[in-house]
Amino acid sequence: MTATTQRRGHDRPAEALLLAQVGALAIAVPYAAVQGVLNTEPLDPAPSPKLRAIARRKGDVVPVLCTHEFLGEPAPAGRGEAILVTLHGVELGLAVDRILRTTADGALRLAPIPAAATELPPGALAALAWNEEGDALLVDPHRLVSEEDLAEVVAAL
Amino acid sequence: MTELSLTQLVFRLGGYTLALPAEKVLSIADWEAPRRLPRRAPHVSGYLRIGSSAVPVLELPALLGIRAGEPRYRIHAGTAEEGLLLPATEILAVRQVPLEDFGRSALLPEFAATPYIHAMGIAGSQAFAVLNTDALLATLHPQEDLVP
Repeated sequence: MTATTQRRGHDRPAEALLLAQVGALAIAVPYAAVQGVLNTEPLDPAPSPKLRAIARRKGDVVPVLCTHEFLGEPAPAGRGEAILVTLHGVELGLAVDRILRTTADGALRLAPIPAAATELPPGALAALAWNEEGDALLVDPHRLVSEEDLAEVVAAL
Repeated sequence: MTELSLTQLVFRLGGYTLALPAEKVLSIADWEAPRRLPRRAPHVSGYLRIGSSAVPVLELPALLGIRAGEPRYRIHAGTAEEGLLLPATEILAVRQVPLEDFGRSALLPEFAATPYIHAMGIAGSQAFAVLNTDALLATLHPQEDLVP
């Protein structure tokens, strides 16, 4: 993505994004980074606010990061869905309430949001993306989740 | 300190009369509830899409340490590339203010410590606090972000 280097929104050919609901937010992640979507199983008790669920893939346990915790949204109870990605060399799930859709068709517009408008790590909120269907906040998972966060989650599992 | 502009947009926010340089004002429109940002900074209430930009809405009452009710207008200030939205209760006037009329009124005690007010002005019988738009913009666009 080149969104962080752009100062204003513009039309661009669609780069497929996966849109998902996280609390009250609609987030988007580049579809190219998505390896799949898994159902999650809640951990009770949760070993960490950042790790509240797991998923199973081909018999292996995959940690599911609580995306809500990272974005400051209330964490839901019970089962949900997770977007499977590889961050810093670790395969994991990003918990979402539900998958909304992909944006593969039509022009997509992007506009940067000043980093100082949020307390997220710099670059984690890559841009605002929108089309005629509405807004979504384009999230860069590699910036949102640090290697330290990952180490903490892996240790808690 | 920013040079004082002779043309000021004077508006009301809660019980306070404020002004900002007219040349910094891009547009004025009816208030619209800001859209949600994750882990928003304390001085930001959200964003609105204006044209092709996502423009943060500043929590101006919190920045100034004052109380204000529900705004009725939003003022888009700054530049199209680096702008902000300010809430306003009432738009009063665009005033030409002679340079000697800045600083004639004492700064209100509640504004004594804030970097976001840099002078008082008087136009006719109306005193107003002049916002430091550069300082407001710097809360969203720190200097290092302005370097290409």
